[in-house]
Amino acid sequence: MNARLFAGRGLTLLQAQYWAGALAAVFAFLACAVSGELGPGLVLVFVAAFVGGHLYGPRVYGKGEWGWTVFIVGAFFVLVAQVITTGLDVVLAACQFAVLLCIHRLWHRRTQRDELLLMLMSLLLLCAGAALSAELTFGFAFLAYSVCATWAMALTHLRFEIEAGRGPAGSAALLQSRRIATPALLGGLAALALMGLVGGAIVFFTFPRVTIGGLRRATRNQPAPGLGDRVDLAAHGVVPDDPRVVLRVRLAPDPGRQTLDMHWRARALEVWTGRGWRMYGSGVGAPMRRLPPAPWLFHAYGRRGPPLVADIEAVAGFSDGVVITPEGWPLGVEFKRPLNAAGTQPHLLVGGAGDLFYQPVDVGDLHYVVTVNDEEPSRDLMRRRPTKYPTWLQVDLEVPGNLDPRVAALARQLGGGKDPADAAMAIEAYLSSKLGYTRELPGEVKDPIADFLFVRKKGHCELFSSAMVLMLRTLGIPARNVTGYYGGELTAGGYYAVRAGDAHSWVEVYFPQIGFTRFDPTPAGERGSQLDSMWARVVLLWDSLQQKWRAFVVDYDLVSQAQAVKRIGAALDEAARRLSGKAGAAPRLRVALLAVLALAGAGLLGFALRRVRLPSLGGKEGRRALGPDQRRALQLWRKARVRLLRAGLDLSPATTPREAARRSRLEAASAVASAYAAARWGGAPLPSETARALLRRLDTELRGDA
Amino acid sequence: MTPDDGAGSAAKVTPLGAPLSPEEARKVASSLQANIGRALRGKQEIVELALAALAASGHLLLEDVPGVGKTTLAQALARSLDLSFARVQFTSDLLPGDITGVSIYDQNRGTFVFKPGPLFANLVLADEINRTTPRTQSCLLEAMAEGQVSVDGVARPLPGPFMVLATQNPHEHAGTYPLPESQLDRFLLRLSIGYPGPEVERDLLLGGGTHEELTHLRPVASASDVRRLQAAVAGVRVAPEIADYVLAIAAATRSTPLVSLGASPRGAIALLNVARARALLRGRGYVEPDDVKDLCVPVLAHRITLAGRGPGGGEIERLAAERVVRDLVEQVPVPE
Repeated sequence: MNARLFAGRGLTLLQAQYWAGALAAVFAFLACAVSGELGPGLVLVFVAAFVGGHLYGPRVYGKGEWGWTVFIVGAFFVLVAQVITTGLDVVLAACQFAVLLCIHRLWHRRTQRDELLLMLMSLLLLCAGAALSAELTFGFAFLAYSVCATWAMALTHLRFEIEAGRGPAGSAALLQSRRIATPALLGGLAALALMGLVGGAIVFFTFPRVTIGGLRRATRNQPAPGLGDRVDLAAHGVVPDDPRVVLRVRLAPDPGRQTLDMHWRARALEVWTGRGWRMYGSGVGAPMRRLPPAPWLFHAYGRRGPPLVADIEAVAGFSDGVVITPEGWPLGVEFKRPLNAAGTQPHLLVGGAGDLFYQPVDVGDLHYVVTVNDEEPSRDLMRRRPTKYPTWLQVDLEVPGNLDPRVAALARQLGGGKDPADAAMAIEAYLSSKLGYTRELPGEVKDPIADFLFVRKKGHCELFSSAMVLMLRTLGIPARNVTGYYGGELTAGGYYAVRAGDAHSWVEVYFPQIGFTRFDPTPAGERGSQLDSMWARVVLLWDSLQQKWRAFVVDYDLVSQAQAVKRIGAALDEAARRLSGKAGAAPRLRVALLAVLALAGAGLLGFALRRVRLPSLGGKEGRRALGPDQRRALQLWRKARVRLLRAGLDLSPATTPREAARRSRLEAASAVASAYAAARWGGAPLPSETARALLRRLDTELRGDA
Repeated sequence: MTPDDGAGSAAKVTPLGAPLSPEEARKVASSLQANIGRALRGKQEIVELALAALAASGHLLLEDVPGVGKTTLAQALARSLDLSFARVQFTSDLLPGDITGVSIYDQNRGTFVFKPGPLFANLVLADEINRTTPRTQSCLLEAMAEGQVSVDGVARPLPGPFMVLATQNPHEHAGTYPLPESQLDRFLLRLSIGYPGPEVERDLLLGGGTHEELTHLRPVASASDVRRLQAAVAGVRVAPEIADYVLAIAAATRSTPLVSLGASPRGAIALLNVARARALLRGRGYVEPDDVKDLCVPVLAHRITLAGRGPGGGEIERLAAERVVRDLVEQVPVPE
């Protein structure tokens, strides 16, 4: 009979309860794991333990408990030792330990206590996740966790109430029923959980508070190939398009364009290695408070407007200690408050080639403002400069001995005997017009420059710039290879995103009294990335969502709050102004508002009517108007029933009190049953003292029985 | 409903015909049980149920093998209550007139005089009721239902407390006429006395049977006590939740696929009536769920037809039906 009654599709109550608990644990773990700090080992262990616990947990339950104890205690001591000796972060160690505890609980799921402990451990993991990262992914894991945890709590309570109330035999049918954990119930619970979160968010936005960014730790993203101090051109291959965002830039004045055609300069690589480029010298120079002075002719460019101010967020893991600047001469660099509380304030350094660096490198995301003079010296200004170069430029004049003679010949053919500026322009024009651009260069070649110029006649930006630098050097003009990014795309977040795939390389040519001036031989249409794929757009959208999350949640502080309130107030003012008809009244708006109000009113009215009608519908409820003695009797029996259940008696809803008393073989239970029956069904008085005395007697006998 | 006249010599104080109070009912019941128990030993529950049937003005169907004390129960009941007792052995050639009585021409007076048959006793033991023809069976059942018999167009009321204890042997099939459902429904309870316990049987073996005891039984209650007991049953209080419980049980027998014909409304009424009677016998003026739950099997098991089986079958069917009812009751939540 039961089978037919409870047939149907969907989850049984037991399954739903099991998976809700498991999912809550998984999402709590994800909240922890998205920080990327747990390490791949622990992630694998968790996944394996999760699957193993699902498959073998019930079988090994209660067996080899000493093994678990050894494991947990051992892990504890190992972590403590790591904290002391290797300086492992205490918070991270605690998180790892929480993961292990959670794994332990995933293998022990049988009793109500087990389930509650699993939920507790999940909560612990979630807290650990909050300490490890406050990124948007954590936010999503948090949302999913709250929904699953709500399910888990409700269903666990339901399951064990049923088991306690009906005994193992009586509850089997209900626990296997597929009509309890219906989509409606789960959906309702999820809505409830989300509503709670929305309420929490409202409080969060409304009340003054300090930012939770202060609790956040530095996130260390995996380093990406980007701005290393060397470039190898021989190892050819396909240059991948990487849509990850490297820089987030806000420009003042705002150019107001969808895409920026801008060079983002990172560093100069001056020494030709025969296969590519490397940095000159040991690298980072001495700490410097002030930027190198601009060349004297710089002032002759003649500024026509204010300098360009770029507010830049450099995503951790890409910049490799280099301060990336927009094109132009940097006038000032100001580091902002670190985005991570643990990160120390970085300081500026200037390298041998005048490149800007910061230290320490490991500060997570870097936020700084660069002011540049983005005026370019005119071509006329570059011409007729003296050709006597200072000795420190020697490195930029070095021509490798084994350079293919055809390179020098081509350089002479293009710019021999010309003014250096004209020669540079001629070579730039030649390269960008006569040679093709490609990112796909399979195979390995011995001399990449000769291969590029005379064999394939195709290449990527590194080849263009390298060829130009070497050709200029054969003509005795100092030049160097510069790496950085090119481009910038406006995102939904209102900032320009420069992506890893926008990595670019160009040339700087030295002119006395002007300094290094930028030339870019790569065809203009091929610079930077051509990221237009769906995936690239998704990545951009994700990045802008992340920025909003950071702005409105992580770094949402008193100032932002005041601004938000002001904006809401302004919006309300505007709405009121429009509704009152003062500002070109929007009749459609008014109609819509009236309709919404009418609908809400009708809904409320319907709800109220329903509430009023319900009691009259419930005939049974009306019948249950019990007298005080009857109510006391009912309470007495319910309490006694709970005690008997706890004592291990198998009671179902079809068990009468007298049957329960017979089964318990307790005189006190019989007395309770008689008193209950007399008061409940016979209308006999049952003073509360008597009821209490009966319960006490039952307790005493139960203790004696145990 | 319950005149509060204390315990003591309540029977004397209470005016004749007034319903017994629960306490009086309990006293009567316990003295009757003790008395009958001397003859039918080790069968207290059966005796209580028989008394409950009597109090609820119902009739008993005893389904059992011969020689376990059916007759002893009937006789002991009759003797303890100072009631008249008649026993009819139902055979295939028994005619309705044989039990109702016949009108005989009285030559002295020149008129037909009615000679009452064995039915005109307070307690009638209808032995092996399934061996007689349906015609005689229905005659008996009419008497049970109406409390009167019609002979020669004249309806003659049967004496005050009237109770039939019908027996049938579940192991006999050849030459029997199983009772149809509608007639089984008329029996308030179906009981099976069952073999006595080993101790009791040993005593019986050595003590020379029950005949001795039976002859020494003295009446402990009168016919009027029985009538007052029967009158008191209607006054036993039933909470609406209890009535709902009874209905839920009846509904359960109707909705389960194991039963092709569930309990009739008469069955539900019978269940509540016997529950009232038993509550009264136990000295209570109210019915509690236990009264209903305990009585479900004897009241309902013979009123249902199991799916795929005919009515009134043998021992196996009886046990199966009782089992089904017991299981069903264990699934109906008890009112709190």
